Amino acid sequence: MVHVRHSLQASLVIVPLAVAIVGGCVGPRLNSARHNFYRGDFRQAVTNLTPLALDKRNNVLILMERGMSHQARGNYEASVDDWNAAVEEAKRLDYYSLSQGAASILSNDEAMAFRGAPYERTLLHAFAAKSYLALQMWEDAAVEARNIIDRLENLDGFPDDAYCHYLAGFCLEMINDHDGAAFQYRAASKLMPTVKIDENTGRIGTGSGKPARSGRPEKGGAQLVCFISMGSSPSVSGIVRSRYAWGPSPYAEIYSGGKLLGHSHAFSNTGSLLSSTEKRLAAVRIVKETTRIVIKDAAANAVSRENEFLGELLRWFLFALETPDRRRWETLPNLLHVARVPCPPDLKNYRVVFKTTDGRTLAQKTIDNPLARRDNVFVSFCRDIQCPYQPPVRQRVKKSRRRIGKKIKRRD
Amino acid sequence: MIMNSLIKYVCIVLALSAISGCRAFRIGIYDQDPEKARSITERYDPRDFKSMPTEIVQKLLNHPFPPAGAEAPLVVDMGIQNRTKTHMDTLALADNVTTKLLNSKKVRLVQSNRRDALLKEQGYQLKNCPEDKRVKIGKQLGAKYMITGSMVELGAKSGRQVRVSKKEDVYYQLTLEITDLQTAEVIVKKQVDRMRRASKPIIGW
Repeated sequence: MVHVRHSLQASLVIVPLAVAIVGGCVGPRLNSARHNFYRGDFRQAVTNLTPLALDKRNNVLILMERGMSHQARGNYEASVDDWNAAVEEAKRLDYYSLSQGAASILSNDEAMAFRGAPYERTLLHAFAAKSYLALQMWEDAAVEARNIIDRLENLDGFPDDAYCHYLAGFCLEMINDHDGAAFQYRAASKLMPTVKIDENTGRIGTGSGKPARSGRPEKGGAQLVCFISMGSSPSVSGIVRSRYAWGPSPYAEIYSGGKLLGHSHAFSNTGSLLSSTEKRLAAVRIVKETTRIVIKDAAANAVSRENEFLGELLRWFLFALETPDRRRWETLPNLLHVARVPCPPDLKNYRVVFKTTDGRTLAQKTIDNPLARRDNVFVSFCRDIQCPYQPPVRQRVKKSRRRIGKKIKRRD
Repeated sequence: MIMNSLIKYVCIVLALSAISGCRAFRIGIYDQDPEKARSITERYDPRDFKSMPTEIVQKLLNHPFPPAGAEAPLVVDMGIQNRTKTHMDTLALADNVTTKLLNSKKVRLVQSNRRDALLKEQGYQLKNCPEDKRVKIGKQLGAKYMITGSMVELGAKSGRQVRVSKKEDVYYQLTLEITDLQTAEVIVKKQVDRMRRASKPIIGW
């Protein structure tokens, strides 16, 4: 009986300690990868997240982050491989694990495997669809669109997302499923009262202006559909990773050959998706956290009866582990915009100018990849993160000095 | 005390040896007959890849096409459209169908390289070629008929309830049609389908 009690007491220490050690191993890699991602060093970000963790609890998160780094590098096949693997892994984890649940009672929710919030799992399909569009794999993009639609039809109280509706509609439009596309454009339009979307053509206009023209796209009229991402999703530490102060309603202007083609419209905001998700889960979280605190207190009291010092130590240790589970996909952008503008039929590249609400220019980029084409529709996407990664000026000067030094030595 | 610990350790070693000897805990590789193998997923799997083309070709061959006594017509395969939620290799699926049709000697087939070269010339790939262009390319290849198809998926999940498992039904339907390129008339259209129910535990270890 004494042996059993001591074993139980030992497990009260060993289990949370094991969870703390193992859970801490992946954190630094993820943080380094995210830091490198937002610096524009996507190659290093991928290296930070290769290989996957031995402990599989965070593999879905690692695959999500790594896929984003692959896509930012232009390695679209690798990005869809990672995201498809993340989807399969999340489906495989779609059950309540008793062992992880028991460990989470003694430590925190990070003992449970990460499966992604509902909006993250929907955006997983959305970003995979963009990679397939970049690869001109229209049918596979439509497969992702159907998965997006499936998820948005089974929200179960979680927030809806106009950006995903529009993207799904666009992927269906690309395989000439105009009825399916119209349905999704209509759903996106309902979520955005200030933006008008023509459900027949997918054209986008503001609510105050004239409604967009109806009917099928005109023959010979080329158009560019650009999915523009800005900023960074809220991070756990509160650090703002984006280098620009975006302000309340930034937008992007699209130029080709010096001529303004049009501007983007805001469809979604991952910050508000996150906060709506947190509100939905708040009640469940409070109950779980309260239960966990009660159990931890009872466990510490049980040990205190045998040894007061150890009991208090255990209490301190168990409550030190009491941290909320703030794991999330942090390389997601904050602002998700769409621009659908007429363009020259021989478009080879275009320039994106990111602006604040009052028209001040924050950054600009010239995009020639990805730029896929089907009939008279060009498809592209871009993000505000500058690529390729340039080392800071100080380091570049040091390298050139070293080169000059070597030349002088050779001359001598 | 020492005796008790010793007995405990011996039991642990024996248990580990027994477990490591058990087949369930070792890697095993076995040959399987793809037609008789049991499915381990409700989704599209190797068994569907094998059985669905076989069934649909059998239905096509049982149809009076081409008419008795007529020469085997030249047919071009213009692909099977994927309208499911699963990424699948529809080119391989179409190859499976056309191989079986060819082996029946009831049709002759345009070579896929010629088809792809002509598609590429006109700026298309097989997967993204629109319907009207398929007919035009089929005619340019000298074919009399065109084979097209689609794979559709429908699913249903059990609603929220107090149970220890959840159910999911997944239904696939493969449709194949042969179209006369001159008259645009659909000569033959056949369908095969299969439905699988998966019961997954809500709680696990």
